[in-house]
Amino acid sequence: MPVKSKESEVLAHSPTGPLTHFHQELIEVHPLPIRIFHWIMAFTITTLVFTGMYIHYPGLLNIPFSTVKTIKGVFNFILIANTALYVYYSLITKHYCELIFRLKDVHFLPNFFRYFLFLKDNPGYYGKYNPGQKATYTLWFLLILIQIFTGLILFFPDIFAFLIPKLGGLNKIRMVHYLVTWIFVATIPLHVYLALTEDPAKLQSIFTGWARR
Amino acid sequence: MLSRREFLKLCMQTTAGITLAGLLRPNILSALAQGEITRPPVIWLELGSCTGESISLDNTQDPDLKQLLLEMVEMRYHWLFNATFGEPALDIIEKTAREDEGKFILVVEGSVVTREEGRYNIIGARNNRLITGIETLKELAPKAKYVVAVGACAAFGGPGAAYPNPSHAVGVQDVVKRKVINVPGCPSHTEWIIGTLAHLVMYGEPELNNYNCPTLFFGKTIHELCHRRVHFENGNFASYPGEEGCFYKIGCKGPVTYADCPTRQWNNHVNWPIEAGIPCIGCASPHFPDGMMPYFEHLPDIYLPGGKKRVEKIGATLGGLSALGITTHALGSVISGRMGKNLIKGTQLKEPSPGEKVKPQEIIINKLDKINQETKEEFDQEVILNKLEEIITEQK
Repeated sequence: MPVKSKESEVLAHSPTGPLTHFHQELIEVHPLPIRIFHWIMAFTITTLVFTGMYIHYPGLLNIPFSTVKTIKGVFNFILIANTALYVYYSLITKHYCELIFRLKDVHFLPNFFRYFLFLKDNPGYYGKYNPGQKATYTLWFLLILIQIFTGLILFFPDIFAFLIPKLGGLNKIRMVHYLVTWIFVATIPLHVYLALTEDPAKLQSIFTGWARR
Repeated sequence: MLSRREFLKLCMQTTAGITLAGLLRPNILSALAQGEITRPPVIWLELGSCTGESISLDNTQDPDLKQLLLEMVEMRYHWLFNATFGEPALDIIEKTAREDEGKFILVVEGSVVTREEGRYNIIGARNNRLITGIETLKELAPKAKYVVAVGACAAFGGPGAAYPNPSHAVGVQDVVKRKVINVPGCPSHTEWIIGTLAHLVMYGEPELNNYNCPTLFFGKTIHELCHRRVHFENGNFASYPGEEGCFYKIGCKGPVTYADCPTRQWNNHVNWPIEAGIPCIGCASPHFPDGMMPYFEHLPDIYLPGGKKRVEKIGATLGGLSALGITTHALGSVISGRMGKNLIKGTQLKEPSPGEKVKPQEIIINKLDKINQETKEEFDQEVILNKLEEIITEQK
């Protein structure tokens, strides 16, 4: 991780005292490609969740249904392209190593949950992402793959006709697609809440890329 | 004789006043007269079913259709239309299977009952021995030229195999080890039956889709052909059956059902469900009825150990649990003071980033901080500063 060394002035009059400020630097937490991937993903998934839910519960707004379908159709393919590029980027930069939940992360889970349930004050140090984040991001990655797969079948039923009987028919596929959307609806607020309250430095870095140390 | 292309065109077109049988009959008769095709023998076997397909055929008011069925094929056995009954009727089946092996068409109606070796479905008795449906089917299917499963039950199990399926019924294709041509529907449209049989007689096996249904009739979804499609695109949705507008919102299964009902029309070509003001229930779909129920909801029920559950409820429960979790954690954070601590400390990373070499000063400060917190004693800041200066100079 690149570190911008920067000798910052000691703030003698700072209320926390000069102790923690004698040597400061900026750290690039999220490189630019990751930030771009993140925000495209955030924007497309939000749009897809809303348009998808509108397709399930139509008629709430007085707009042509074909407009909603068109918006969803376009964002589907933006998400697919973004996911493909993100996977490629993660593989060549080895970003996936710090992102994917692995078996060894299971050992850190008890400690992590102790912090989460207010039994412990110190969050502990796990690397770039804690086990909870890793589990969430891995789950989302798998869910996005399921959504792309089922979504493509629903979008092009004639091309994927050979798969439909094996997966239990179009209506089952539609149900899986809908249920997975609900998992997104349930887990995205957790991510937003924790991002807003846990560490403002990391929140800042997903916008700017950099954080003070 | 009609070319196959012309035949397909005839089958898919809609002509007011003339039925498919009426269009096909002269051509088939002339082909028969010129000896271009031969009349194949047909055995119509009924297994676990409501006789819906046969009644549907028998009730048709189209005179051409009945005539065509008699002229085009040689109906050797059909328990409803037979002139004979009992052992002589069973003899006909046996004779056909023996003499016309590889020539006859086996049409099956109704689901195959498999429980207790099929003893819940008896189709006849010989020498005081009851003959089961599955036994007859397994005997006849390998000898037939084509096996045609007519109706939702024969094709995919259908209502006969619906939850909880006490008779362990299955579709024909799950029992016989050969290709089965499926003509689904509950009941199957008479023209789907007659059209498929005509294609078999004239040109052999028709083009089949992924569920082995003829694409001739099951190539497009009802949604694609529906005359209320424009309401769907415009976002004009009906909230109750009978209203104007698209029935998508009240669970129309048109988007997932492949059939040509909108152009073919039912009840002797006068109407069809959506025109009559009721959503499609997907009876021609392979997963009818379990995968299509409830009829007035989009998505099927999920069968969990605790009983049937709605997908919407499961989704909303997940969302609710998430909201509850966030609220609890937020309250806990405020009460324990963590929220304030995290936010007041501001935009500075709490822990070192991976690969970063942590400076000794920081380690010392962290340790001092910890001691400070543990002992809850106030250190003299100046003393600490002096100590630190010493350490730093030592390090350098």
